[in-house]
Amino acid sequence: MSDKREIPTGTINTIVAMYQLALSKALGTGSAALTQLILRDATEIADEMLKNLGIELGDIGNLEKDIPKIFKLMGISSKVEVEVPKDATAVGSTYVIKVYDSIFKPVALLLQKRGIKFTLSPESFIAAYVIRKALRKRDIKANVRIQVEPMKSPKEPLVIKIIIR
Amino acid sequence: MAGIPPLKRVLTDLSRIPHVQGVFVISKEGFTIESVTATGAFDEEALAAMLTAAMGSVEALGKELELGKPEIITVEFSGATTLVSDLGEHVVALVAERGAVLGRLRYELKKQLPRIRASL
Repeated sequence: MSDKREIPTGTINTIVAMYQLALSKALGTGSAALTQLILRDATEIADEMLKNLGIELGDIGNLEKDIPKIFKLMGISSKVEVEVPKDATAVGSTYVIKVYDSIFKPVALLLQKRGIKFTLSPESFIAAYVIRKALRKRDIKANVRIQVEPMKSPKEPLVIKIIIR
Repeated sequence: MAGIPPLKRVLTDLSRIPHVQGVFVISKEGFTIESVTATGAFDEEALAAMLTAAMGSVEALGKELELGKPEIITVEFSGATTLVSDLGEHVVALVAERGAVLGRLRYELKKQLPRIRASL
């Protein structure tokens, strides 16, 4: 008998929503600021998580292909589009990531209804982390900030903007 | 101080108060917009994120307990005194050594808030 267990998506989404509610309740508008700090301080955890999935970020070369591949391997979404800006490394340039069928979509919609920003969006964190890692291959000080567009309808993709700063 | 941007000029004025180590204007997303530091020994990224989070937390407290909006948050650490004031989309933070006169810091910060607002 295998030890491997599948956690139902609904359970994961409930946990993510609860954490977001707790964070928003405790930190209010300050919860967005902490996301940036998590991005900086959780690199080892993120590396380990991706390594367990067989993803080595040292191989990242083509973000348009690699980000959708990572989302698929992680089981988050099978349809992701990445718009890479013209000047992919300039400060202010924006990467736009559209996640069409995220497993976390119900959380985004629930939070949107309650007027709460989804600052812990796993999709945005992963996309930002991968882009930051790719940028740091060229410039060790490269950094990004995350902007998650509010999700208004279940038919729309989740739109994440990763802005180089 | 010709040629210095207005915001930098106000922060420089505040940084001249005795024992002040740094003055920062930070966006509510946790990014430093402008800063003037005496020592340059600050982890500005962490400071910006943590102070914005602290302001958010106190705002949430005020809302929950119906105390109104926070005007200035003062934290006296063993090694420094920190004042944070809300500017709507931004916060202004001042970090000083413990030897600083708290009343003067509060007075000067309040006095300069309209200049900072006008410079944003």
